[in-house]
Amino acid sequence: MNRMIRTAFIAVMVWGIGAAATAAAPSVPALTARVNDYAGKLTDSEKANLETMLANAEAQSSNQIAILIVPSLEGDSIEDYAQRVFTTWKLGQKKLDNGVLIVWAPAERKMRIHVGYGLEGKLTDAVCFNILHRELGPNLKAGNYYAGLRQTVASILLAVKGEYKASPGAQASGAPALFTNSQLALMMLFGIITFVFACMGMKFGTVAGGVSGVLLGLFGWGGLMAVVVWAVIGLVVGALMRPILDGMASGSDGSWGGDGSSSSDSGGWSGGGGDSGGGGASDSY
Amino acid sequence: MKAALIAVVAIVAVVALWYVSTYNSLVSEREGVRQSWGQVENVYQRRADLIPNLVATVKGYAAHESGVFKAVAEARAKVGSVNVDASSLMNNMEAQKNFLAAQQGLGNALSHLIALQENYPTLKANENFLTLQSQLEGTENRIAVERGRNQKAIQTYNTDVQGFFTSIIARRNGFEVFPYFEAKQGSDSAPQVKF
Repeated sequence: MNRMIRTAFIAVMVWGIGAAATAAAPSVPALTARVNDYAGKLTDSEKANLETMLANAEAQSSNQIAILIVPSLEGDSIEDYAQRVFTTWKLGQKKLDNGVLIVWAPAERKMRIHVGYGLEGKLTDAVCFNILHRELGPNLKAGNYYAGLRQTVASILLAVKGEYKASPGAQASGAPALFTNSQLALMMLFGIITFVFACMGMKFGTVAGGVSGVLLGLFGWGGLMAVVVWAVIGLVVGALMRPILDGMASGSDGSWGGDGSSSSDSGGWSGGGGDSGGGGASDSY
Repeated sequence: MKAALIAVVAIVAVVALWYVSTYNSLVSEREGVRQSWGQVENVYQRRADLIPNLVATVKGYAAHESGVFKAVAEARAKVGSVNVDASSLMNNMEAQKNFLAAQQGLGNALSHLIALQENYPTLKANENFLTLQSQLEGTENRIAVERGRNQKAIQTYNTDVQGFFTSIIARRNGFEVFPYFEAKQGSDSAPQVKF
């Protein structure tokens, strides 16, 4: 029994190390809602209004539009920064790549509309530039932050209208798969290895020499029970750790759609797996 | 005896599983490299397609800057002449180098064209020109993104091909390292146009 617990413990350790290695991407802020105001430029009700506007748009067309107001670009170019944020947040539905990211950096007086692959046809660079140059820029200059962003969103929605029909399947961006195929394969592999060592252990005893001596000792005598227990523990721990790991991966502290912007779905909001090739336009004001 | 047999069967199964999955991932990674290179060529083509409009617009305001227009035309012709089939380009370091050098030359010529606005305030204020300029910037940004992705794909693939155990499979099945021409820092970034 003791040995089985030890086996399970090691399995969990291996799991944890593997998962921690995949968590990275610093300096991209957490995706907390559709409207991410890290510079405190909008009031709670303004945020909620924009949030509703964007949520309605997604419900209709599955297009995912997010707004990011970032205090400073810290020397980065707004294009590179937007690309990094976009690919981390994965805006837009998988395969459709119908995401849009509006970035505004007040300190640098820069703004950008970053477009996913799927919307490049309707939301061309020229269209994006015109929206920034004629609508958002002048409004930001005049201090009409909310009005500018609202008009920008309205123009974007107008531009992309009809590009995608809301297909019921495209909406199912809610729960991600519990395990990816590679994770499952890894689990199976560990299961088989455990089983092999258990068989060998039965045959040769726990203190068999050679290169695999240590491993034999760790996994020996567990037999089929060890495999079953390991798999169950692995599944449970994996499922429990999943939100934590996801949180680490996106730099989130786990509090989705917190104060004021609660008009998003009850389960929070996240990107649907879309990708961008750097389309869109930037402008300063 | 029975246990030993099971053990042997299990080990064989694990090795076979590993072999197949490694082979498959090498195939898909190599495909990823080719696909991402295709994207690189696409975005370069996109830039080339913008040129006639851009030149026509600038000419309307700065017709006598013939040197700049000539340079753009020449650089564009050069790009057209090195554009060969994607698969061979990817495996040919020299061709890749020439291709990227020609594209870089075109990028430089275009940045001179864009810079003409400094001397022609009416051009600078022209809406059509502003839009074309934003399209050019957008395309340059796409080039940077797709080139970055291609290099990353090559890196991933090459690392796997040369991996300690993976290389056994790679060598047996003819997976070769992709040579790639590493661009100098900043040479493929958007032309800097200051106002």
